[in-house]
Amino acid sequence: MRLSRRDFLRLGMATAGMAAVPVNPAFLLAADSPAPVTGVSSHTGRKLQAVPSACWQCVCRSSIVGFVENGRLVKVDGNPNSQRTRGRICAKGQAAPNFLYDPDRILYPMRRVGPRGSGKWKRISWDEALDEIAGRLKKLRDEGHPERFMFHYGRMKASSSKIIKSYFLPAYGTKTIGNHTAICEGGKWTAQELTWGKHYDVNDVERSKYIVVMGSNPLEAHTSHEVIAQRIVEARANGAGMVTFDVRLSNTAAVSDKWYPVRPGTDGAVALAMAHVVMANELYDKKFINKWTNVTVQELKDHLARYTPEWAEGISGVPASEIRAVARAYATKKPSTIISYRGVVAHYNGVENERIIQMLEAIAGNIDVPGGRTRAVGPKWKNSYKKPKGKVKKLKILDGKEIAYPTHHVSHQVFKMIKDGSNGRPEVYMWYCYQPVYVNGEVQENIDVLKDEKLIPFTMAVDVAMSESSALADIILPDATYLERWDWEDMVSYDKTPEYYIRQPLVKPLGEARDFKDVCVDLAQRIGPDVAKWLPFKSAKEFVKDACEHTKAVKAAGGFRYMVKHGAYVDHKAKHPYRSHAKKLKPKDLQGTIVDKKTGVVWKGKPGQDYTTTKKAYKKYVGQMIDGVAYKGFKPDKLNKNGLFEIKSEFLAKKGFPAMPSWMPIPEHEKMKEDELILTTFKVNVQIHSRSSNSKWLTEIYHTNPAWINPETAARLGIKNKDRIKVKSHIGEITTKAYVTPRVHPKVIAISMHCGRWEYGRYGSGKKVFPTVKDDEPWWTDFGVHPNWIIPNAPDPIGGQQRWMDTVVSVTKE
Amino acid sequence: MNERKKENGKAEEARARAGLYRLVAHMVAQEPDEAFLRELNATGFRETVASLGLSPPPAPTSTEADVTREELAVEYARLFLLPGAPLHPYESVQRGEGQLWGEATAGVQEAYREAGFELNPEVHHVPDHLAVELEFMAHLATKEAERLAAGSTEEAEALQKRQKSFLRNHLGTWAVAFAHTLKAETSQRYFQFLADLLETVIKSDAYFLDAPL
Repeated sequence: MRLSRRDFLRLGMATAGMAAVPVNPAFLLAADSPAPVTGVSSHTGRKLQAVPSACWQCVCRSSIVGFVENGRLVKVDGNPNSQRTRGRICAKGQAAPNFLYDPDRILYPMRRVGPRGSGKWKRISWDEALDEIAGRLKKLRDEGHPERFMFHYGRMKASSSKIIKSYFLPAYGTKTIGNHTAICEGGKWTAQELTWGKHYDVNDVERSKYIVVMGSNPLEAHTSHEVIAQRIVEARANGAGMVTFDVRLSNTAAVSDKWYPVRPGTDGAVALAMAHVVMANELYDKKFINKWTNVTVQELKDHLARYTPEWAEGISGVPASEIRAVARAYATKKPSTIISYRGVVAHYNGVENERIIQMLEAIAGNIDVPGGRTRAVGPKWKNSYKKPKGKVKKLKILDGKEIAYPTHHVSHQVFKMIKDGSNGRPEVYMWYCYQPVYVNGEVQENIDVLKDEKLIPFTMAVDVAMSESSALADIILPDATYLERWDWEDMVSYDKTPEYYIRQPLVKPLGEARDFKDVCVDLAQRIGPDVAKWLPFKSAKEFVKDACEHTKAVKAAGGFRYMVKHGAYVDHKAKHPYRSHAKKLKPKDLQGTIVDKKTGVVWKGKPGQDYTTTKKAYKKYVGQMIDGVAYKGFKPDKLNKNGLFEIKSEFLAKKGFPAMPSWMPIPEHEKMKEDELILTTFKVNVQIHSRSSNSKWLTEIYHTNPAWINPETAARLGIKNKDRIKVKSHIGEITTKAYVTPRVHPKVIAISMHCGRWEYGRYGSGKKVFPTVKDDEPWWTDFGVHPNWIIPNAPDPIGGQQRWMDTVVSVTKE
Repeated sequence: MNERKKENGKAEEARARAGLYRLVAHMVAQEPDEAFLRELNATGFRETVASLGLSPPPAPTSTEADVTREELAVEYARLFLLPGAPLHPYESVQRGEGQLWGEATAGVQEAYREAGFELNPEVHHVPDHLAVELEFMAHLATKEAERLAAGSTEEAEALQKRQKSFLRNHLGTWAVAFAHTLKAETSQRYFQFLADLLETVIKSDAYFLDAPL
C-alpha cells in the first residue's frame, strides 16, 4: 500500500517511541573519511588487489592468486611463484568465487528444531552453540569418556590437520578420529607400506619415456591433478609413449597411444603378465632385485612362470600379444613408470593389485629413479608449540572388522560399527569437511544411522553448505571457505624440491562463518584450562605465522612477510636426490642406534629390544643393513617392516594371504551371471568428489550422469541411447538414463559421481528457489542419479579399501 | 522564523522516515524477541498502523497468533537463512545474478563509500543484504535531519538526493517484489506484517521522495 505523504510521516513518527528498534551492532559505521579511490580498472575504476593463497577444491591444493576488488573476490588464477603448479590451475580452481558466493551457503550457526532431519532450523549465536558443545564435551571428559566424542573428517590437511588433530583433539583426549582414506585410495597406501614403506608415490612423468596408466585418470582427476597432468602433456610432446588400461575411455585414455578396455579388477593380472614378460625376457634390473628386494631373480621367475600373457588374456580380456608389446616397451623405453589409482585399488584384490604393480616397477628398475616411480618430497613445516601430553582414549570403531592391515582405517564401516554397537558408540559425533551420507556406499543405511538419535545422541556438522549430512546434524557450525582462512600448506612437489606455501584469506568470512581452527581454540578455552593450555596460539593466523618464523628455510627466505607477499617458497637448497634409499648412513646418523639381528634394521630401540615385536618400532627406524653397510633404505610406516623393498611379504603370509604378489580373483565376479554387469564409478574434470555441485559454473557444465553402457551390451538388453533404465544390485535399485557408447567395456556400466544430490543448494540439488528471477534458476532440469545408493560398503580384506568398482548389477529397461 | 519552522518540520519528516527504515531493517535483520513484539504493540504504533488501514502486528501474547518465539525463529530461518530459502535477502540474488557479492553488491558498497559509510567490520554482513540497505537509508535520513536542524540546507538536500538515488538504483529495484514474495510465502502474521510494512515504506517513500520505482 502506498500512503499519502501525511500518513507516511504519521506512521514514521509513531516509531519514535520504540526503544528496542536500533540494529545492534549497526551494520554500517560512519567512515572517518571516504576511502580514497585508488583504482584504474577499466570495468569499475578500482584497483584489483592480488592476494596469493592456496586452493582447496581437491587434495592437489594448488597455489593460487585471488584478485580482490574492494573486498569482493572477482577472479582466481594460478600463482606463478609455485614451481609445483607453474602458475596453472584447473577449472575447479577457477570456479572459486562460486563457492564463496554460493547464495545457499550456511552463514550462521544453526540448531535443529523438532526431530533430527525434519528440516526445521533456527539461528543461534556462536556463544550459544559453543557453550552447548563445550558443555557436552566437558561432561564426557569429566566422566572419563573423552573417546565418546568422535571427530570425523573428510579433507583435513597441513596446518588444519595439525591444529585439530595434533593439538585440539589430543588435548581433549579423544582418539576416536575418523578419516576418509578408505573410500579414496587407502588400499594403495597399504600396498605401499607393505612393499616400500611410507606411502605416496610420485610418478616422475616429466622425465618418463613410456607411461603406463592403470585404472587412473590423471588428466581429469588425480591427487596431484594439474601438477601431473601438465607434466604428462609435456612428456607426450617430447615423444613419450603412453598406454591406458581402463574399463572406460577416459579423456586420459583418449590421448594415449592405445586404450585397453580391461575387465574390472583385472589390472593385477595384466601387471603380473607384464612382470612375467620382463623376467622371462631378461629385461629386469638384476642389481636392484638382488640388493634392495627380499627375493631372488630365480624366485621371481619361478613365481611368475604361471602368469603368462595368455593366462592374463583369459582373465582381463586384453590380448596376450598386446600385453607382451606393452611389457617390452615398458621395460625397454626407459625411464618408464606406471600410474595407478582407484581403478586398480578399489577392488576386493586392490591391495594385491597395487602390490603387483609395485613389484613390476621394482623389477623393471623404476624405483625412485628419474622418470620412474619416485618417493614424494614435501615441505617440513615446524611450529614452536609443544604437543599435548596425556592420555587419549579411542573407541574401536574405526577399522571395521577382520581387516588384515587397516593402516588407513576403514571409514566406510564406521556407521556399521556404530549400528552394531559392540565396540561402543560415540555420544557426540562431529564431522568436518566430510559428507558421510553422500560419499559412502549404502546411502540409505548412512541416513538411517545418522538420523537415529538413539544410536548417536548428538550430531554436529562443520560445513560451508547444507549437505545431505549437515541436514542430519543437531547443530551446524558455518565453516569459513578456503578462501577466507589461514593455513600453511604442504602438498608434495613433482621435482624432488620441497615447496612451502600458505593459504591466506582473500576476503573476510561472510556472515558469521568462522574458520574451524579458530573455533577449536575457542572451544578449548570453554572446555577448560587443562585443554586450553595446549593451544597457546590465539588463532590459525598466529599458528601459520609461528610456523613461518620457526621453519628454517621459510624464515631464511623472509618468514611470514615473505609468504604473505609471495604465497610460495621453493627450497632449492633442499632438493632431494633420487634413489634416496641408497644413501649410506654417516656415523652421526648411527649414534644411539642398535641393529636388529633378524631384520637388519638399524633403529633407536633399547638394547635387547626386538624390532619386529616392539610396538610402533617403525617410528624409530633409522636405516637398513645390507652386506654389512648401513643404508637409509626404504623407511617403513605403520608396520614394523624392514628397510628393504619387500616383494615377498611375511606380513601377508602371517594373515593367510600369499606372500608373493599373486592373482586374487574377485569372488562375486567369479559367480556372475551372463547378463550381469559390473558397476564402475568415476570422476569428471570439472567437479570435485562431493563439494562442488554448489558451483554455478561447474554444475552448469556438468550436472547429470547417464550410465555408460556398451552398444553390444545395450543391444543384448534391448536398451537404446537415452532409454530410462533400472540398475539393480543386491542392496537396492536406481533408475537412470542410458548413454550407449563404445567408450566402455561390454561388461561394465559406468556412472560418474557428483550428481543426484538432494541437498547442497539450488545448483547442486535443483531445489526450486522462489521467486523466479532472471537467470537465477538453473536452466537444466536433469540433476542425475547418485550411484552410491546401490553400492555396498564392502572392504578389501587386506587394507579395508572400499570396493567401489566391484558391485555386480543387473540392468533392465524401465 | 517561518523559514526556521519549515526546516524543523522537514527535520522531523526525515527523522520519521529514518524511524521507519530503522524499524524495517531491524525486523529483517533478526528474529523478533518478546521485548520487540511488546514495542510493536505498546507504543501506540499498533493503533497508528490500524488507523492507516494496514493489518496490525501480532501481539506478543496474542492467542489468535499462538506463535511462540521459537516458531518465529524457525520461520525466519526458513524464509531468510536456509539453502533454497525462498527469500535470500540480497540484492544481487534477487536481481538475478544467482550469487552473493555480485555486480549489484559492488554498486551498493560504492554508494555506501560515497556517502561516507563503511561496513562495520564486527558484523561481516554482505553489503546488499536488505537490512543493511534499509539501515543505510535510515542513516542518510537521520543525517539529513541533523543537517536540517543545524541549518545546513544544502547538505541536507544533497543527502536527500543520495536517498533518492539509492532508492531508485538499488533498494527500490527489488524490495517491493521481495515484499510480495514474502507475503505469499509466509502464513505467520508477524512476517505478513513485515511484508506489508516493507512494501508500504518503500512505495510511500518513493512517492515522498519523488523517485518513481
